[in-house]
Amino acid sequence: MKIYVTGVGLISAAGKTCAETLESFKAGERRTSAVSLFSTQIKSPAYEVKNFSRHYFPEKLRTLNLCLAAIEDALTDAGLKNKLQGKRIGIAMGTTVGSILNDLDFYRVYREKGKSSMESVDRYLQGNLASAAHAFLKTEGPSMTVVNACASGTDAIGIAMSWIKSGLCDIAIAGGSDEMNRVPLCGFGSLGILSESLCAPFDKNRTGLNLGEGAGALVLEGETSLQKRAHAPRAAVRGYGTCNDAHHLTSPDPQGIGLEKAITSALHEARVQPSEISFINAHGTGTQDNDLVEGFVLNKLFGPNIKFLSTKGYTGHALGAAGGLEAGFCILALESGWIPQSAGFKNKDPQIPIAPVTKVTPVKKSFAVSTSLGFGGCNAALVIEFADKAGPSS
Amino acid sequence: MKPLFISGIGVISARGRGIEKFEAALKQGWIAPSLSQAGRPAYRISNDDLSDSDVLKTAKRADRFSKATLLAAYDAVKDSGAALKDIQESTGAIVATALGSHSTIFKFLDGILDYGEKSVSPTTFAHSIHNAATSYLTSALGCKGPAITVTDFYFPFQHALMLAYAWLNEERFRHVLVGVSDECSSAMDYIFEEKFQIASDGKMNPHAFSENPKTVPGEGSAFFLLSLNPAEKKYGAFSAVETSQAFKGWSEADISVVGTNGMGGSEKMYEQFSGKGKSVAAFSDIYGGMMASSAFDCAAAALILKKQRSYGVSDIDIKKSEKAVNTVQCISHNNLGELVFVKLIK
Repeated sequence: MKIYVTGVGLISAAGKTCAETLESFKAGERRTSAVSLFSTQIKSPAYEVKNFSRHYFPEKLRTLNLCLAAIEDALTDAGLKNKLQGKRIGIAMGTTVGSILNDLDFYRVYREKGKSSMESVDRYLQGNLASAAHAFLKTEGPSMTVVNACASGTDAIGIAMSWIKSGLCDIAIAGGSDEMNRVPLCGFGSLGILSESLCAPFDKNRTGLNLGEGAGALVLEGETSLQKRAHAPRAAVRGYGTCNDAHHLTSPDPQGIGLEKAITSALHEARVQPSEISFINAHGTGTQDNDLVEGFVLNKLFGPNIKFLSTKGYTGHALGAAGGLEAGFCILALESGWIPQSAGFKNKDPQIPIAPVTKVTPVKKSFAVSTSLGFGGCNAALVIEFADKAGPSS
Repeated sequence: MKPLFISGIGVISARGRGIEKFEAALKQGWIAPSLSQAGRPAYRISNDDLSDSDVLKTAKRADRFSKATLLAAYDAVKDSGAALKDIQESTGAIVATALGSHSTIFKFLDGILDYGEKSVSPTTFAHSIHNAATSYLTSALGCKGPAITVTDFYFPFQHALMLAYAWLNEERFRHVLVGVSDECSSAMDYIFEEKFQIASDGKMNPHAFSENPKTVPGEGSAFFLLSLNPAEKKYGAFSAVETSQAFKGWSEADISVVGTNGMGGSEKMYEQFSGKGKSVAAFSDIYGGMMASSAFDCAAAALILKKQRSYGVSDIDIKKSEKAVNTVQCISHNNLGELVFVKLIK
């Protein structure tokens, strides 16, 4: 069964719409600033969504608001806004920050006084992405907030595919959302993988990642649902692979065994050969370990001439949102026939056998691969196919 | 939904570790919970039960949440009789939680408050991420298949079960280890006290179907090893999960295990499942109030089907009575009064 993408909603520092994202990609803009959403001593460029004002819930539920905004855009794109009633809808959204009760003000007061206001707890209990989205949209069906670290968004899309294939829902909304937050900022800083300069994925002189925020949501449908309402798809998600390294809490397997299995599994499900892949949107965080392992595996599977890039240079690392955003970026690139330069890359790393694209590069409108790696040994990959506007029966 | 055959169950709770201890607790019924330093009652896992040096040798630095997860998952495999090496390549793992490893998250916040943003512990940060427990599980058991961590406040296990079905149905692999974990820290004790009515005498009374139920916070982990192969059945099977709010339950259910844990508001709606000819069981006073407690209810249901014994208020050896138990439905609710049903068959 083919799973189609009929709607895309993307919000990141690179743009609050698909069109704005394409413009900034083409221009090679890197929209960074110091962290402005909270005061911090940590100096690292941040990729924030500036002037974001779509507040469906209280402003402090930023991850949820970003999520719902992306979902609303994706549903509008799919022609399904306010048309979900009576349908079995699955919602799978990935996040990291959105799943954690990490309000420093609440905890500071609790520590000092043994009691604290429940306002932040109430907010936290409102903020489970999939549950809140179901309640907001008044829909019923499978619900899953995926917290698989930085692979969450990609896994959420894969899970939604599985639901539709197994007949658990007719339509699924999937992707990820995360906000700029102090806890991961401090945490990545403590691990020594937060760069004080602009991130440079796959570059010889890379010094780590920059954090970002945003949300990416896709509307997925099977052929039956699509044919019933005669809506043209934008793409098809043809394969999903996921595999755990079973190696280490924070470091990827040095040989990339889990990543290789995840990509191979996605290609197998898609029934697509590596030679048919037009380009790869790599996880490419800009850390030493990630880029080394990923470069090694991509070269092994796809050969030295594969076109690939990291979009983290435009969005920062949006953690649980990254997979949803980057699947959406793949669709935009397949439709447009080009990928942007891999922002931040200048010097080839002799330890990495391949190098990303350094300019706006034409790509075939065929298949793309999007990869995600995360703490806990998570690896996930999607194979995405360009769909012409003729629909599934063509 | 094709039946998901249960080949092994692992449970760790305040009542001990292992399915045998869990069954013993079901037979014994309620015992008083322990008290925290602040005098709050809670059902906590004993440190002795979290100190298996063989299973935890690769997880020495893990927090309580991760250790409980790993031990319950390990026990589910052990209970199945399968050798780890035989299932490592064919098993996916799904770990569901409501609140995650929040004591480690609070410990990380301690670090920010005590030492400043630039001097926090990287080890604590790594352990505070929701999927750290899953990482320990896969590393220790050598499971190199898919491993997913998911979170939901009220129905985490039910949705995890649906994913387990989807994965097995797609033949992504042959086995799924699926379960839940939740812990109860002192800060969470306080939050529970603010958000729920705590039974200060330690008695939850889950059969009262009260409009204002009381709870005693609990913690634990419960895991199931599942497959589509009937030859691997040891406890019966999960045969359906129903999330539609139009659904009212399976009429053929011999027993309803209800999720009266005092954490989702009024429990009056469960009255409809009791009464003439209907058997209702509730076990939350055995392991305590947990938002992820439905997995424990399902473990109890699986034991009812296997042992043909009705635990709880009326502990009856069904084998000696006339009517066999062939179907059990486990029902949970959320704070909106919405119900989700899981069906288990013999």
